[in-house]
Amino acid sequence: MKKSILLDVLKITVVLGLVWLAFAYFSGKLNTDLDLSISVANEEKLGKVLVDDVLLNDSKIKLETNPIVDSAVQSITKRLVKSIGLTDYQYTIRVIKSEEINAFTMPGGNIFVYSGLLKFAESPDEVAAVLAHEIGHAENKHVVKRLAKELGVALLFSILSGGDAVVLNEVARTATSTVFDREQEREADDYCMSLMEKAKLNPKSLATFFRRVDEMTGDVDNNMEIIMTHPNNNSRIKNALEYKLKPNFKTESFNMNWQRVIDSVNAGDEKASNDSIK
Amino acid sequence: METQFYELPQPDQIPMREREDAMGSYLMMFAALGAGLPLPIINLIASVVYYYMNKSNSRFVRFHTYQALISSIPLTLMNAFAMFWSLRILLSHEWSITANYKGYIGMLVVANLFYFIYGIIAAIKARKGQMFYYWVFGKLSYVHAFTIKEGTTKEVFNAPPKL
Repeated sequence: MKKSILLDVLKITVVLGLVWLAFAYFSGKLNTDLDLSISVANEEKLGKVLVDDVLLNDSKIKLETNPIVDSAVQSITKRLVKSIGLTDYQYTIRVIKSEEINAFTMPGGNIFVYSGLLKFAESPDEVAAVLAHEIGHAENKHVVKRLAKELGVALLFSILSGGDAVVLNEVARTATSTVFDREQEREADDYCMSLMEKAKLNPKSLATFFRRVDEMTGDVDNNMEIIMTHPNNNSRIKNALEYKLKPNFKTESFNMNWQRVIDSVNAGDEKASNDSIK
Repeated sequence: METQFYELPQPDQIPMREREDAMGSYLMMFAALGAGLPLPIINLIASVVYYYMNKSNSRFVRFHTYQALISSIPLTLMNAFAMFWSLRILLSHEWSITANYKGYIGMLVVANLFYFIYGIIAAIKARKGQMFYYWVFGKLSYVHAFTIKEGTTKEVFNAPPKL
């Protein structure tokens, strides 16, 4: 009798196990189908519409035009992009004039970083870490996945063939909100550390950046957007610090005067402030 | 020595009160399952209490209450694990909703649904004075309730008069 009971237990376990696997498989497959439904070409078109027609048309958004700042950011970007290898995107990084310490990714490899973040960073390596993290979101298609999940693929396709302004603004608002789930943040962090290593930059710069952001949380103000939308900083700092570098890894520092870049951002801010007083 | 079992009572031999007690074990399990949703262990405690209350009742009642009790143990543990997993996702930064989690919850919904349907059928059968054997638990409960223990003799106290 014991044998027949054991056999029954085994049968139940196998059946439940198969049901578990089936649900796990199909839930994963549904997500994959969702990802595949937006091609890279469509994502680029979507990115172009959202950036050109919405963000750059917004009078509140002012782009940083200072050549020193622009040259520094482009130099960091160039080094990172060179290390990516094969990629679907032509990365475009733009600096928004704002005191916020934040950066975000739009579809099609469009990345925006706030000048407040540049001022807060102590070195170009820290900016590179933030940009590499944003590139991680782009390479893992986190933004389109979130848009498709929250707004539906049909709506995204509808704006490719000319959507109205309200819809466009809503899609842009969803895309610019920095809220990714923890799994996506972890994926972007992992990608960032690997990319930093390939670019001969120290991946631990991500940890130093987040640690300093964390230290400021005692007096969180509205400019600390990055920390409010990026939870669990402690575990992320820990992960970055524990990242295992290859034994023969050597860093190659950026050949730039970072203080000069910060001064240029500050000078731009002062000029803007004087202009507004006038 | 081969295990000996008591004869199974037939529906016409089981009084209505015993049938209702047997049916109650399944119905009470559902009520406790509903009440115990935030903390799945509650329905298990209720099942244990109900079993001990009816332990000295007839073998028919003992069979059904025991079956209701032991069949709820694995599902309670599985529900409790789902609760733990969900809380970890909610409260911990390290855990996230994975395909495995979704698969587990899906499997649990199916298991609970089957458990519910089986419970309803078992309650109806018990009310009719019939046996109903769950997979695995039916055999275990039958052995528990109807085995003639060693040293127990089938003493006949009541005998018809000599005619």
